[in-house]
Formats: sequence, C-alpha cells, structure tokens
Amino acid sequence: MATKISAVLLTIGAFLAGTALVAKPVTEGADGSLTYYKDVLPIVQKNCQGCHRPGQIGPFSLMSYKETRPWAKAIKNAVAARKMPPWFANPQYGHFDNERSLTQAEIDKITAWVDAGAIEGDAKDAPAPAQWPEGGWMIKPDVVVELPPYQVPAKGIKEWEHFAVPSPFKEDTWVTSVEILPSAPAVAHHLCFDIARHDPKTPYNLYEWMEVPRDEDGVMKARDGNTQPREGIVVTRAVGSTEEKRRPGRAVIGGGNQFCYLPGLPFEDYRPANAGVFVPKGSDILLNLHYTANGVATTDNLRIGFTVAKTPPQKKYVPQFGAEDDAAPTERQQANAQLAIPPGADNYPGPPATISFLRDTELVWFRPHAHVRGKSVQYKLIYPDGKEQIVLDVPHYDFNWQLTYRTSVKIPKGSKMIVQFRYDNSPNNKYNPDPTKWVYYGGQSWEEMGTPNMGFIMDREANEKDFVKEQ
Amino acid sequence: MVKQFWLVPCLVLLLTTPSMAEKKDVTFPGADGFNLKGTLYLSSKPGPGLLLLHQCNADRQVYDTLGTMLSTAGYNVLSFDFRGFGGSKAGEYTDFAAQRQKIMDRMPADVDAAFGFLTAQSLVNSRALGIVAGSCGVNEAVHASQRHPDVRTLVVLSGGTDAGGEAYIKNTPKLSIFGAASEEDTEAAAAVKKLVGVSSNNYSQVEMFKGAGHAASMFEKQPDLEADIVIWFRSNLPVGGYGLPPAIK
Repeated sequence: MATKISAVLLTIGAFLAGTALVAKPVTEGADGSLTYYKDVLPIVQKNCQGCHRPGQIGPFSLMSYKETRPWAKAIKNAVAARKMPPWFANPQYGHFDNERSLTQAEIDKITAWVDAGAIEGDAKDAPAPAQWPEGGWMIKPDVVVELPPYQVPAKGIKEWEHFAVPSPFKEDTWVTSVEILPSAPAVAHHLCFDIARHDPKTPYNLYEWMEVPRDEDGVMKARDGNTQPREGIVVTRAVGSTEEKRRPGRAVIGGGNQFCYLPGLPFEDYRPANAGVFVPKGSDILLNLHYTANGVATTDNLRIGFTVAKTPPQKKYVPQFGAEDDAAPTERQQANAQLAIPPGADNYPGPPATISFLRDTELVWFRPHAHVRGKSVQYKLIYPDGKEQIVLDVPHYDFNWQLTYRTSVKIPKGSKMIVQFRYDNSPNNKYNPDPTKWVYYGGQSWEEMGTPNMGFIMDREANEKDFVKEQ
Repeated sequence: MVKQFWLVPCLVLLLTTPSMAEKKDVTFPGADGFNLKGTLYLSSKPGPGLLLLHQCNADRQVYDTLGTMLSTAGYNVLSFDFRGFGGSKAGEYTDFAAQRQKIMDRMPADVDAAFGFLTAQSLVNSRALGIVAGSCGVNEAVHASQRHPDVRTLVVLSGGTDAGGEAYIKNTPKLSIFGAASEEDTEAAAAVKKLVGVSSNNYSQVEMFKGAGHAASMFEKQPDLEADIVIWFRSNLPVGGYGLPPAIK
C-alpha cells in the first residue's frame, strides 16, 4: 500500500519524531551559548528559506528547528566553505546588490551554534515567521501566464524551439519583476522570452525551430559561431500534436533571451533600481525554449509570473540587443566559430567577447552563461581614457547556479568590456560528460557557449533611438 | 481541440505545490523467481535512482530514515532485504547464519534484480544511478557498479572489496566514492580507507568516526551521517542529470 508523505516539512518532521536523530531539545542556552531561535533562525530566514522550503529547489526544508537540526553539521560545512548560499563573485571586485554571501560574523555564529550542540533555545526568542509567496514562487506575481504542457522525451535532441502567446496585458503596462517557473527544472536548459509588438505573421499555438545538422554524437556540423542555421529546414509542431511539418526557409517566430529561466537563476527584479519594462498593450510573448532530454520522459508545465507597477517607475530596463523601439546600447563581437576546446584541457580560454558601449549607460546586471565545461569568467571594463577595471570576476562558474549579479556601473560612451570565459574539459570537472572529446560552440549542454549577458537601465523618458553608433 | 492560446492570465490565487514523496513496500522476483521484499521511496519528480544494500546483521529497515531523506532530496530509492533477511525469509532461505555461503552466492543476482526493478520505475533515470552499501553489501555494491556502468557514485559504510573490486575502482576515475566507518571497528575502518584510497576519482573521500558502531548502525550515534550522505549525492549525482553523457540514442 502506498503511503503518501506530504511535503518536505511533513517528511522531515515525521522521521524525526521518535528517532535518535535529534538530541533532547535544550530549551535555553543556559551558559549563554547560541540558540536556534535567537541566533540562527534570523540568518536562516534571510538567507536560506527562500530555497529551502517546500516546493522550492532546496533538497530539504529549513522552516523549523526540527527540520533544520538533522542538517546542522552539513549547514556548518556548507557555510564555512562558502558553498552556501551559492554566490560565485570574487569579493575583490565589484559590488553587488543581491550578494547573498553570509558575513563572517554570520558564519561564525552558525559554526559556534553547531559546535555547541545546535541548541534549540526558547521559541519566544524567535523572529516573526518569514512570509513567502505560495505556489512555488519567489516573487509574489500579480499576473501569471500558464503555457501548454510540454512533453520532453527520454532521449533525443531538442533544438531551441520558439513559441508565441499573446501577452496578458490589455493596457500599456510596466512590469517590475519576472519569474519563469518550470515544473520540471531538471530538463530545462534555458527558458527565455522577449516581449514584442504583435506581428500578424506570427502564429500562436505553434512550436517552431530550425533543423540543425548534427553528427552521431549530437555535435553541430556547422562551426560558424551560431547555435542554429539562419536559413534551412524549418520544423513546426502544433500544441497538442506530435506531427512535425517541415519546410525550407527561415523561421518566423522570434524569441530571445530578454528574460530567462536558467538553472539556479531565481528571477529578474527591476524594483531595487526603481525600474521596469514597458509592455505595450497587444504585445506578444515570444518564447525561446530549450529542453534537454535526460533519460526520463517528462512533462513540463511552465508558468511565467509578473509583478506590475501601479505607477510608472523612474527608469526603464533596456535589453542588451535593443528592442522594437529601442536601439541596442552595446555592440558585441566574439569569434564563437573559433571556440575549440581540446580534450583534457583544464583552463582553456575561449574567444573573448568585446562589447562596445554606444552611449552613456548604467549597467545593472551581469548574467554570464556557459555550459557544463564552463570554469570561470571575468568582465573587464576599459574606459575611454584607457583605465581598466575588473567589474565581475567569477573564478568558479557553475552551470547549476547561473546567477544574476546585480550592480550599478555607470559606463561612458566609448568604453569597452572584454569578457573572458575559460573552460575545464578535463576529468577533474565532475560535470564533464566526456573529457576525451573536442568541444565546439553550440547550443546543447554538451557543446559550449560563453555568453556575457548584461542588462541596462535608463531614464524612463529617454529615447534610445537618439543613440546611434558613431561612424 | 486545442485550447486557444492556452493562456490563463489571472490575478494570483495559487495553490501551494508541496514536494510530495511516496513510500511503499514492494515485492519483486529474483532471477530464480524468489520473492524479494523492498521499500520504494519515490521522489515527486523524475530523478536518479539509488539502491540501498544493507549489512548482514540487519535488514532494510536500517535505511528507512535515509531513504526518506533521499527521496525528499529528489532521488528515487529502493532498499530491499537480501534473501534470508527481514521480509525476504522464505523456503530454503530463512537463516543467514546457517546458509551464509548459499545466500552470499545469490547476492549479485539479487542486486541485479533490484536494479532491474528500480530502473523500471517511471520516475527513475536509469542513466544516473548510485548505491549505498553497508559491510557485507559493500563488495556487492562495487561489483554491481562494474556490471552497471550507469552507477556513477558509491557510498560505502564499514566494508571493503576484493582485489577485482579494487582494480575496477582504480581504473574507473568517473566513479566517486564516499566512505565512512568508525575507528574502533578496525577491520572495517581499514577496509574503507583502502577502498577509497585506491579510487582515482578526485572527489572521493573518507570520513572516520569514533565509537559510532558498524555500517548503518552509525546513524544512531552520528546523526549527521545521513545528512552527509544526502549532501554527497546532491554534489556527485545531480538531480538534473547535468554532466551525464547526452541522452541522444
């Protein structure tokens, strides 16, 4: 007979009851020692419960003492080694609003609490419970869009597929945060979308992708620095159907990476910068979906949540490649076609990206993207006067934690950013699927990328079309 | 008929979606048709499969807490009683002490049957497998990993392997191993150290305790060990399957 055990909370709580896992609770640190309620819970609420609660990505819940106690030593080890909370920016460079590293004082407090026996203390000392959004969200969305269920097969290659739905906004709207929430994150390589004014040629309810010629190992044959052909065989499949139709030509559904779900990336939030994204009424959501078969057939139910501003924010978010009414604030050059990582190479430098700033701008986030062989990335800003500044250094890139690093860097027109990714194709990289293979540029997890995504804001009333590249 | 747009914009009124784990007792046949009793701890989502092999002075119940913790953390887990133990006592297999060699001879095939049952579960990613084993189960685990190349990591408690197992470990750098034992359990501690010591995987590690007991019995005196095992799997056998060879063919 099957026994349902509801939720992480109940699971952990159930097995703790009546076992020897938890020492008899000490209700007070009589000798002045640290206690869970007084000293540790405030740190856990602020830094851990966002992920370590039922329905979130954390592998266990930390919502109560009973749930936390079995993991005390693991928590101590993780925070002392600075593995948790996950944060990979080198503290020597830059300042990040969303940095979630613990302070040394917080680490010392947790360590001392664990070493003293992880005492529970008096519940009266506890702070008020943290309030978390329901439904698995990190943000508390005002508006939710649900996409059709997507079937991911156990095997085979899924190319990047594009899909259009009308935006839910019937009036001009300022969106202030976006969360993209797959139900099956294990098969989600990236799930991104752009917002664009509706094009009558754009069909709804249709998945569309380019056929990509590949070898028997799934490696893209064309090594031209693109993830898919611009022209070739276009494949479409209607929602709810398994029939694929092919035609020669170009894809008609757009879809980029303005907003993304990536492994470990929590959500996009413009509220701290008092900024928003303007969504004209009648726009479309153009999705770029990349699922990866991992051996088990899976269905993903994708949701997108938005918070919206009641009044227009002071500033607006500017996509790095521009948008319908906005010129791109930057221009990027990167010889992706030259990316060829030798077997066994443990610190291979990819072709650097050179990003030219076409106007004065404010850079507000970095979101570096590489695949499982990604090892490190560094963003170096070179000002027009030649002064150099490292603005982000990630010495240990992790595909499982593709974080956004939120900052504020005022960048004058004429500056350049050099972005250098490095790769570990050696057996020492535990995520390396095969260290004996050459690795080239491509969109699949077993190929590689080195994409230096960035986000910008500007005053709401500014017109980006005024800013064009100087000839 | 396809619903137009499949789009449900709405003011948020959302139900919680708690992580659901499922535990159920199961029976599956060994290669000779003998019924083996086990417990499945299923995660709510597709994920790697783990097999828990008990020591020869206990049965599968020693892994009840660990099985629950692992399934909560995203793994689909099977513990089972070797024939002659726990619920798998029947017919000619009722007394391990009296039928030791006979039962030990059957263990490899029983482990294979357990893997077959585990990987037949719809939530189990049969390309991402791991084993936890205690004492006499350790040698079985090492040789099972040799027979099943999709076993990518082992947790070994208070036990060792034979020369053939050591050679396999030495020559298989992709196989990461976490070993644990208690120092005063001298033979077991030495065996674990030796086993992990021959591993050519950079992440393999050993943890030694004092006064903790033998194999899964250590869980009682070392309440952090089960958590350490869960963390080990999360670090070495990702739930998302990233790092596995592409699932193309």
